[in-house]
This record gives sequence, C-alpha cells and structure tokens, in this order.
Amino acid sequence: MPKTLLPGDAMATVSPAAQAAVPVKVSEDTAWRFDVFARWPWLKRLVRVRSFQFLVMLPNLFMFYLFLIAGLFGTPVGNRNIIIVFVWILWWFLLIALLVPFGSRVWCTICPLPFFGDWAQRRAVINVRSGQSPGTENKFFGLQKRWPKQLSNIWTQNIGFLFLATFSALLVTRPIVSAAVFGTLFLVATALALFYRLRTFCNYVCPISGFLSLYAMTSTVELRSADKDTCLKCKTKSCIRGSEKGWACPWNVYMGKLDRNNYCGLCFECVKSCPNDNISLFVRPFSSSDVILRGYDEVWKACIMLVLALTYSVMLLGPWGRFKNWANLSEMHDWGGFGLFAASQALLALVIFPGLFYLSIRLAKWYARADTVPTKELFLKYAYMLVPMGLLAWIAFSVPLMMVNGSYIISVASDPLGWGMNLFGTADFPWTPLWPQWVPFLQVPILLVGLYYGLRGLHKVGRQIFTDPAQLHRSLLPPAALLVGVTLVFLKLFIG
Amino acid sequence: MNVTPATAGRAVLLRAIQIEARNAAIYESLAQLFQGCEDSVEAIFCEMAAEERQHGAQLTEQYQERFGPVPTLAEQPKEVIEAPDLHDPEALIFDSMTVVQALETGLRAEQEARDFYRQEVARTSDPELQKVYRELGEFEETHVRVLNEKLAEKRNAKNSITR
Repeated sequence: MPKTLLPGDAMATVSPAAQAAVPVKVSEDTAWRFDVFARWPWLKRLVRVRSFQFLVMLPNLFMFYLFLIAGLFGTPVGNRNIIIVFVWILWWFLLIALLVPFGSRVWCTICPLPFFGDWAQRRAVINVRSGQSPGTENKFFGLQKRWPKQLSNIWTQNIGFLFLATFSALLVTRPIVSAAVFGTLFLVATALALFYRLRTFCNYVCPISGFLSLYAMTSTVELRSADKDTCLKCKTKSCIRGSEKGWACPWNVYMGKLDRNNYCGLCFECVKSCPNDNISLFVRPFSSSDVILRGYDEVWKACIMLVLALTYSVMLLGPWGRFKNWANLSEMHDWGGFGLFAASQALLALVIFPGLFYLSIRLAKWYARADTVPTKELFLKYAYMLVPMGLLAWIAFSVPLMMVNGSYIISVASDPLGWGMNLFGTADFPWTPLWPQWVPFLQVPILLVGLYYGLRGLHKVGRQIFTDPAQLHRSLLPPAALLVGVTLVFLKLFIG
Repeated sequence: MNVTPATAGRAVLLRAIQIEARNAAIYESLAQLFQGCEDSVEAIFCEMAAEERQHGAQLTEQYQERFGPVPTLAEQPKEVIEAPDLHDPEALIFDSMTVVQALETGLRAEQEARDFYRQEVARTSDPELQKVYRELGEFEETHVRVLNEKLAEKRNAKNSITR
C-alpha cells in the first residue's frame, strides 16, 4: 500500500471489510482466503455477544458432569458406559477428523475444562471487568503470577500426552480411569488459574491442547486481523490487553502479527475488544498457510503424535495379539511386557524417530551442499511435513474405530450409565460394525492425502530456504524419502 | 482541496507530531503488556515512550516557531510510518522478549520513518516541503543513531556475560 504524508486524508487505508469481501490471492506463495465475517456479518454479531462462549460451553459442561458421574458410578464395562463410548469413540473421531481440520481449535471454544478457572480469575461468567492487572486492561483475581520461563513451551504437554497415551489401554476401557484423568485435568486447570495468569493450563499443561495446537496449523479456518496496518497503528493493543468490551486474550496472543493457528483458542474475545473492528474469521485451503514450527518442543510434538498413531495402529488394529497384551496392563497384569511396551514407545517417539528425522536433515544438507543453511533451521522448517501426515494418519486410524464401534453410541445414548435405562428405546441396539470390509479402502486414500500434503508442505518451506531449484530438490529428497517410508509402514499396517 | 507548499509543510509537521504522540501511546501499551516479564523489557518500552514524547515536544516547538500554535486534531494519523509493533505475536506465550528485541522494535520503526522522509525528499519538487522532509529525516536519523548505540551497548554487555 503506498504511503505518503500528503495530503493526510488522501491515503486512507482501504477499509478492512472492503478489502476482504471477496476472496483474494495475497501473493504468489499465499493461498486465497475468504472473510467469513464480511460475508455473513450476523456471525460476527453472534460471537460478539458477551454470553456467546458461555452459552456454547454450557452444554459441554453439563455433558462433562454427566461423564464424570458415569465414570464414577456407572458400569465398569467400557462399551456400556457413556464416558468411554462418547469420549473415546465419538468425541475423538469428531475432534480429529472434523473439528481440527475444519475448525482449528474450535474445541477450545467449547471446552469445559477451564470454565471454573476462568470464573475464579474473572469473578464473572459473562461480563467484562475493566481495571488493571499485570499486562492487561482488565481486573483479574487470584495471584496472577507468571508461568516460569523455563516451562513456557509445550514440553510439559508433550510428556503429559505421551504418558497418558502409554496408559491408553486403561484409559479407553476403564470408565473410572477416564473419570479420574478428566477430573484431575479439571482440578489442575482450576488450581493453575488461581495462581497463574490467564489460560496457563491451556497454553502449557493441557495434553489435549498440545496436539490441537500442532494440527490446528493445517486447519481450513483462521482468526486473524483483517488489515495488518490497522493493528500497526493501534495504540491500545486491546486484543491482547483487553478493554471494557472484551477480556485480554486468555492465550496471550497478539493478533496484529498472528500468522499461525497454534495458540489461538478461538475464544473470540479479540473480536469483542478490538477498537478498530479489525478481527475476522477466514476460510482458507487445507494445510496452506501456517507452515513454520518454531521450536524443538513443537517438532518433538509432531514426532510423538506420528509415532503414537503408529503404535496405536499396531496395538488396536494390527494382528499381533502379543503387543495388545503388553499394553493391556489391567487385564493381563504383565508388568514386564507393559514396561517393554512403554519403554519402546517412549524410545521410538522421543529418540528413534526424531533421530531418523535429524539424520534425514543432515543428509539433506550434505546432498544439497547447503553448508550455509543452519541445521537447526532446516530441522525446524522441514518438520512441517510431519504435521499433515500425522493428522491424516490419526484420521486413518480413527475411521475404523468409528465404523466398527460407532453403533455403541446408539445403545449407550439410551443407557448412559449402564444401569439398564432405556431413555430413547435404543438401549438394546446391537453392536453393528459399519462396512468393516471397506475400512482399508478409506484408510489408504486418507494416508495418501497425508503424504501429498506432507510433501507439498515440505516443498513450500524448502522454497523459502533455497532459490536454486536443483539444490532445493536435492534437499527435499532425504526427508521426503522418510515420509514415504512412514507412509509405507502405515499402509503395511492397514492393508497387510 | 488546494494544497499550497506552506499548508503542505504545516500538515506534514503536524502529522509528524501526531505520529510521535501515537507511538508514545503504543510504547506505553507494550510496556504494560510486559509487566512482570523480564523487568528491563518493560523499562525499555517505558523509556522509548518517554523519548517519543520528547520528540513530539521538539517537533511542537519547531511547529510553533514556524506556524504558531499547534491546533488540536481530533482525527488520528492514518499513516503507518514509524509504527512500532511486536514482531513476535507469541512472545508473551514463550516469554521470549528480550531487551535487545525491544530495542530492535524501536529501531525498525525509526529506520522506517527515516527512509520514508528521505524518499519524500526525492519525490517532492517543492523546496519548502523538501526542507521539512529533510529536517524530519535528519531528526529520525538521530533517533536511529541513539537506538543503534543503545543496542550495541546491550549486545556488548550480553556478549561479555556470555564470555
């Protein structure tokens, strides 16, 4: 946009709404995006309603309460208990296959875990409280401490998720274990809100948030400022500091420069607080824009998630009974086998696979003769290929779970606690796998889509580093070979 | 509207005063944002806010000498020139803002302003207006120099600690 001082008014910036009313191709390397709020202003009005988040969270809070009751007092039989069937079959499938790829972190908009923490900090459920708390223009309560700098990353989430995943056989079959885990997360989220600022739990501790942040990068929606120049000129920075109209960003994100979805929890407070009406929701192509991982913690998250998709597929879908028995501590009581399984999974996720990826990067550097490019830069940037691949691998893993076990949703809906109720007359609906013979025919294309987007992302970040096409292609070969190798392993698991 | 060189020069200077005031407010917002983080980051932003106010006062003096009392303008400047901004939108999440980065934020803004005024000197044919732009360019160049010195000092201090 041309900048001039003369005459002052002649170079008024184009209004954000006018700029974004039609899909625009921003630059050769930037995909199109479509301004949802400009197209459907009623949606913007809706998210601006102060009670919006409370109202969308409320049903979930009720469900969460029901799940805890079911976990504590319902039947111990997993496939007859709503906490197991609704959380680990329905919610997981919706989350990984629909909400994340098409809604970014929209789950965080409705997640009940931080509800009481937010309430305690704000002493308000709906209204905004103006005032002064460190870093904000809102009055918050509690100790308002800063989270330790050494822990200001997602390593806690990485280790937490890996730990929970190790006990997944218990988690997805024993209602009491699921209730204990979710109850603990709920208490931790509330306790942390009393001591620390804003959504410390969501940013640094919540194990679910960790993978949501990673895979939200691929999502087809983003919340962004409509016009960056407007943010540059903004004196108040209300999106992050809050105002009398909206709370300071609970996630500590500055919208003026936001360029990736990872840490935006879609609470829409910035839409309310922005004094320039400059925040909008955009639709964009899948896996197109946010392609940069910023630290080793995020790269390891990508590695952990991909490896877990693999080990889950081995455990739950593969033909090897021995592995299943090792993981199934509660029934088999094989502590040696479980120890071996836990250690192998951790070794694979934390050392072997990241090591293989590192090796591919060293090879890429050597083969492309890219001595001037720091290894760290290549390692961080090329790791993006693991993001769409990981997400699609998880979807490929989750599809058969839903198809084979989805019918439990119908029966459990009528008898959520397994107490013999029949609320909707479907309690006796038999277990009916849905076209199980078609599962591999769905898994293979899903995986190949993951491979395509992984390779595409790799090429895209590669072009940001190398200008010489020959050097670029040489640098892409080793990591691309690793990605193809990973795909082949998954294919072997899925189709034998 | 007819824009004569005299009124144009006046408008340019007036706008420059407004921009300094706006930037002081932005630095104050950034200082508040980093309350409780590394202390010196907050202090650096406060310092830069004070400097911007001082620059505004100097320009106000110049304006008064040339054109008389400074009128109050209700309208905010639409220009982006010299707008300091957080470079990293996730700096607060990762607690990654350093004093050096804070100073770099200011330096980028001052450099942008200096380059802009220099370009305007070349783009304008009117000598009176050229003079105003040149003076503003020199004004910003002084700020760039001061910030560069501060940055060098901080970097040296950091290096000596590292060693």
